[in-house]
Amino acid sequence: MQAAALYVEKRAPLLVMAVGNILRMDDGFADAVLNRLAELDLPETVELFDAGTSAIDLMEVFNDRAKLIVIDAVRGGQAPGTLYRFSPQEVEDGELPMNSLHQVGLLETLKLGELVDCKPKQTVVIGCQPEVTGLGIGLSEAVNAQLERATELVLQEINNYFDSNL
Amino acid sequence: MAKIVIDPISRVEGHMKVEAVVENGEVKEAKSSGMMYRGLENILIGRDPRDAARIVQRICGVCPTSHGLAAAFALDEAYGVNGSITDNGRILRNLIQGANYVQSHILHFYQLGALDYVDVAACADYTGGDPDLTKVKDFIARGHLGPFVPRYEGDYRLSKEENLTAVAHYVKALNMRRLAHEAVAVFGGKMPHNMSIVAGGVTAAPTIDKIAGFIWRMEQLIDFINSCYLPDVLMVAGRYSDYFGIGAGCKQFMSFGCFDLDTDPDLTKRQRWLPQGIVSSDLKLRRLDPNKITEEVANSWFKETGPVHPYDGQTDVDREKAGAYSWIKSPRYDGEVMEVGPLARMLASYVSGDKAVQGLVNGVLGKFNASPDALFSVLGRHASRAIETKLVAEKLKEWALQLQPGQPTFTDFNLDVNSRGMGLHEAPRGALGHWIVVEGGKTKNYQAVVPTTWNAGPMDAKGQPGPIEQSLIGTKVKDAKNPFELVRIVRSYDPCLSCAVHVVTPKGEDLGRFVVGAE
Repeated sequence: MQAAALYVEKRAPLLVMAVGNILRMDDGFADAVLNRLAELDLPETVELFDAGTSAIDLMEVFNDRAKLIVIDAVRGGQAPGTLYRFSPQEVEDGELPMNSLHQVGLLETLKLGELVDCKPKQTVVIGCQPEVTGLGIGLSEAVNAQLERATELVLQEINNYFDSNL
Repeated sequence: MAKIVIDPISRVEGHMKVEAVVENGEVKEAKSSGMMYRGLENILIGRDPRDAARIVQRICGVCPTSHGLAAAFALDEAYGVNGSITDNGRILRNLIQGANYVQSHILHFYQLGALDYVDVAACADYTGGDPDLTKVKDFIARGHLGPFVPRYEGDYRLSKEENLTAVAHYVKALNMRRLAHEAVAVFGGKMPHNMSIVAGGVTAAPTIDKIAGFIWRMEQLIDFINSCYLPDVLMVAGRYSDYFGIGAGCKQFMSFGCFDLDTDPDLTKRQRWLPQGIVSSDLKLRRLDPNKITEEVANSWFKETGPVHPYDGQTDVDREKAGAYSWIKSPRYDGEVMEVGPLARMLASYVSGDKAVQGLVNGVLGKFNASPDALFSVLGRHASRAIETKLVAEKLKEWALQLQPGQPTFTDFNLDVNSRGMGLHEAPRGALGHWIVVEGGKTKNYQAVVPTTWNAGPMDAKGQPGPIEQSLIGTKVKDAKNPFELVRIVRSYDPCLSCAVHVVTPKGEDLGRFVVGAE
């Protein structure tokens, strides 16, 4: 897991990327799912990547992949622990605010990547509604209870990819 | 009287808010607020001190490398290896940090700063053959205005041709930034959140092919900096030359110094390529005494402590505190307000007689017939950043050739210590200090004083506003609905308060239709 993706000659076509800050409680959701996936015996064509908090740096990590599965905490207005599945195109119809005085978020990076042909062929986000994002390490019960199901959802995405590429 | 609030919190995941009270078209009062609690230090207490160099990198998605290195400097001292870092270890740290400067500065100018000056809409009717411009045009045509909007409307002064050039370079800069990021990873290993910077040195081994790969990337970056970045900054400066007179600030500057040239155990005596020191508005350089650094919380949501040195710093929240308006503390040097960042570093180099810096800075000033005072400004900050990028990139090429494959990069140490350590460092956006107290081999206290705390901190007990606040006060605002002047000032500091909850919050926020049911 977590090979230095920048130096792999031949990249794994399928990238599972965990985004989030493990120091912010439920924002560590993705990392927890990634750890579960790491214990499974996944084929070599799947790469697991701990992306942490630096979205703009991910452009070359997700470049040139057949499928990108993003795991992240998502604020979608539902009850804590609610799981989501969507593609970035489905939730954004253009207006991405770049007026942040500083940094560049994940959705923006995906969009900026298009400008320089840094784009996975397919992207899906598996998200979980956080309950607490205060400072600290560890997940709320609501989110913790969903880890197994979230892991299954990611595996389902992996299987879908292989089924459609047989 | 009008109150202008620029609060990116309502957009992306902003953490900074600026409130300006405008009377007769001029800013009378300004408040810069950090809107997120950063109590990261408390997580470190009781842990293995070495964890700090890993955990602090998660403070932020923008400068993990710098936090990792500042922590490593503090740990070097705590473990007593601050005088015995090997040449390879020292140079590798410089290369990793330097490549990070290059990527950060390019990103700042093009992706974060330029859109305040460059009109992307100039591409809407583009008919030429440049594939990048055509792509941007298609973006706009499909209604994909983000990442270019929302923005303020009005004051775009570049000619059509100049706008097209700048937009083409905006796209090119994305690729260049990637290249610089790869250069960081050559020796930094896994990115983001590199694993190779540790107490005692660096874990990466310099091999011939890595050195060659690093230099190859740096050469392309130098070419981009010389042919695009510097000329573009000058082009913007030419059309917006009034910004040499806007956003001056506190006119006192501090640099902790960056890029070690030796391993003197005392960080205030260590030779650094970008020198350490305090620069006053009359361009005099004083030596830095880290004991004079204090933080106070008079207007911050923390329990009152008075001015305290970071070794004694506390992070106890008081959300109900009367008059407080920020999660940022107010750091001071000898009770004085200090601006930090590329301008501070270039001034320290300029004043201490660095010929390369003097040549480039005087070149820019000469072009605009300006005196060094003009550097205390929005454009002074952008120009300093660009000049620094060029000099750092060139230096990195030279340093990479000094690496010795096969020689050690790491010095081992004893873990069971009772001690303290100070890590003075410069992140791309300014002076960064980490302080650690170790007892019985465990972290007893940890404090990080970060660049944006210096620049964006609130008013102190003596009533001195922070640097950004001082830059805003007195500024003339032409149109309160489109306060270009204010965002340009704030952005020139390259503020970064992303202690970062990286939660995706799409527009609209109701994702009920994407809920995945239980099985």
